[in-house]
Amino acid sequence: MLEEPPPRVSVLTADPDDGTLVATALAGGAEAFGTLVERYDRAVYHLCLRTMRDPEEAKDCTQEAFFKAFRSLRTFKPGAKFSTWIFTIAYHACCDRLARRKRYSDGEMPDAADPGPGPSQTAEQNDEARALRAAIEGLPEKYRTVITLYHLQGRRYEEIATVLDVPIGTVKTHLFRAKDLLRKALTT
Amino acid sequence: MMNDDMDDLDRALFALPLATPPDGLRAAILGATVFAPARVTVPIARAWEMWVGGIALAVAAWLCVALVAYKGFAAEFNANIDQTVRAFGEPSTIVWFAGGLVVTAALLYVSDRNFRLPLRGARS
Repeated sequence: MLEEPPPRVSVLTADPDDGTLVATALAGGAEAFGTLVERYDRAVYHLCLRTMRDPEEAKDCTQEAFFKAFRSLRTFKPGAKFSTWIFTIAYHACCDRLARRKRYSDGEMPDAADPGPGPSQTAEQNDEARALRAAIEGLPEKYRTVITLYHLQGRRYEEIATVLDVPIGTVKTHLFRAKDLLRKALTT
Repeated sequence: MMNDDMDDLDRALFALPLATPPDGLRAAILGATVFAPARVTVPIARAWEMWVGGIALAVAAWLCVALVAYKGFAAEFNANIDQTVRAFGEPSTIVWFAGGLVVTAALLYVSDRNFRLPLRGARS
């Protein structure tokens, strides 16, 4: 059995915890929300970029997600995970945009061009990582999103299922297929 | 369902760095949320306008209640409606209406002819 990998977002989590920050923001300390933005903007942008495959749209979705979260902070349930909540909002923002994109296009929407290497990517010397990223880019949307959330949240299937609003079984199936496709892409 | 023979793939996945957000993204988010300028709320009406409106509404409500509470209200109301409908059906009323319509149409026709100025370019 694999050991449980730490979720990506927990690396960023330091005291005070997210729940405290939300409570502080609700009590009028708006700067606390700024700390949440600092903690999660990168992860949310990563999810949006992987889902949208367009840096501009990913940027817009990220902004939209945080704006919506800020406006509806009162609806955040105490005890819930902020990361799951913000990922859910971001994923819905992406889905809305993808639906609009499909509506305005005839038939199958071609995938957006690969944005090319960014500053951090050029610095990266690891060919394996580059190949893996390219393989993820080549996955169908549902698999790409599930593998991205797996990457961000670790092996927490329940949270991935919450974000995607699908049963855990579906998450596991999609992950299995996504990994299978990745493995095939990496070995060819 | 999950394969446990994918250790390498899992490790590679978790080692992948997150995408770098574009410059200014965080500032834009903070600018739209935490540091957004406070909204100036403009009242719909001034205080005295609200008072006047409230008093007018109260008087109107009181009148309605007084009318409905009046014993013979329903009978008188129905009688008035009947009388009005009957009046509209009488030949003299119809003749007066027709006369009014003819006079209005004639006035419109006459005024339109007299006051229509010729276009500047059409003058010779």
